[in-house]
Amino acid sequence: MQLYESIFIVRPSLSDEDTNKLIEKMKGVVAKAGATLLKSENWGKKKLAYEVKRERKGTFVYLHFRSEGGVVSELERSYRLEDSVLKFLTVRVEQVAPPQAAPPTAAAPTAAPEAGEVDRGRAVDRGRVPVDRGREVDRGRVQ
Amino acid sequence: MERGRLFQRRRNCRFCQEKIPIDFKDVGLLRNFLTERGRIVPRRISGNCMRHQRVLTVAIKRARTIAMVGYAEER
Repeated sequence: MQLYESIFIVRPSLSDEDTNKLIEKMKGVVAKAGATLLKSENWGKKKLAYEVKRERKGTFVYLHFRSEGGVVSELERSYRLEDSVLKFLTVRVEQVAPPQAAPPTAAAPTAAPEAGEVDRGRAVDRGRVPVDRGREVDRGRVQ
Repeated sequence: MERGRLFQRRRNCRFCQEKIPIDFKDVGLLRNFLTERGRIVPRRISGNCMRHQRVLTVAIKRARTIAMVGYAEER
């Protein structure tokens, strides 16, 4: 059994009622697949850092559950079937006290949807490095 | 330019000192380690230890994936 956190973003134009219906549906998927739902939160409408499927905002929903690994693929399949789910991310949470040596999972998220986007972001960044290195470094000082 | 560098003191890793967990959902925390343009601040400037920088990097990349933090902020 593993702990998972799953976040999905719902299209903001969806009415509150439909959004809640969708959340209940996703909870149902998790429960039916044999997972124990530990927490579920609706973070409300938040601004997206970048445009996703033509949307600038989205309703963030957070699920936290304990289950076997198969549940994740089941849940993500349901996300993909739903047109109003803009984006989702499921990660495995490190157990606080694992019985054996902790596996190095932190570097390997269970699912990074649209991996291509990650690559694109990096490429863009790299391309800009020479342009403003000095300035950036100066500004980047923490605290 | 050179002068400023002379007076830089060695910073210590915030995460080691304050024992705060690094969570990809904590956007406010992650933003402390991003430049205005959305790039990850290097370790030599933030003063993070190798271990926490690694964890932090993963957290930032996860936050980017779920659109809580941008890949590149427009100028």
